[in-house]
Amino acid sequence: MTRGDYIVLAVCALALPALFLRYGLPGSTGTQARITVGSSVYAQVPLSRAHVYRVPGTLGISEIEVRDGQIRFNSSPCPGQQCVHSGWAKRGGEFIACVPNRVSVSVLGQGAGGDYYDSINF
Amino acid sequence: MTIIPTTRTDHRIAWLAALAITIHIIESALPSPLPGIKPGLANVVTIVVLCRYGWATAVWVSGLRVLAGSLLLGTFLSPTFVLSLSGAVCAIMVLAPATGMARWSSRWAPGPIGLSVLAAWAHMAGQFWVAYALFIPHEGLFHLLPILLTVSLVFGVASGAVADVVIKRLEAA
Repeated sequence: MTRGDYIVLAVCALALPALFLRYGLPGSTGTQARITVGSSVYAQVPLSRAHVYRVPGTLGISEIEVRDGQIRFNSSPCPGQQCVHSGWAKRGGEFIACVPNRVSVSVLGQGAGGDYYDSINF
Repeated sequence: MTIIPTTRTDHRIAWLAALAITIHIIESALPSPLPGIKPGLANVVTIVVLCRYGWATAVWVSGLRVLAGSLLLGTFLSPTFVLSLSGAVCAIMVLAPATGMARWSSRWAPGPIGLSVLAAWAHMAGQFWVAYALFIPHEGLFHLLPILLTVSLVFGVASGAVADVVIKRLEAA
């Protein structure tokens, strides 16, 4: 290992906690989820009502299932199936995306904007 | 029929690209513990090529891998291909100055492990940016970033360590 290697690793090790603080903290249990196609909101759905939503994306229909306060991709017409393998999401801020089909699901927490925070003071 | 004359470098690129493509295809068949993450073992080849034959050869090998890999997997020109290409382009762009550093300081320039980590993060960042810009312009996407970068750091160190061993064996041979 050279000094350059240590510098690279140190920068990464410092950047990760910052990224986790900024984006990664798990929120409270979500009550609603927002289904988005591309940049437009397709639907905002309650997690309390079990239902299967058929969402049309760029490649075809993504089937999104809500059950027991959780939400997941049942199926999607993408080659990688990473959205399906992501499994269930239920906490505020959790996010599942089918990038090829441009369909995404984000779980909203208690706050108005769906963030973890009700308000932030400076 | 005219035969295009090929050089020794052309043959070397072809052999190494074939190796990278093989690893790429095998890896795509393996199940991943985390969606969106692959170990990126084909990058071992890129790093070894970079350290032994220089940046230009590495560009060829990694470009041919993305192109031929997508043709063989049937993802050519699909969103998957766009993401794969953007990751590879970003990684190779970051590797240019990083390897250039070796010219003026061998102590401060990153070795195989540092290069591999840089490439892994650049790959992930490039894909993320393109996914955000072209496919899902939604802030929620960034919630996936910390965990994906954590795993790619681990895989970057691992494939860098493998590349390091391979390079030392090749030098000894």
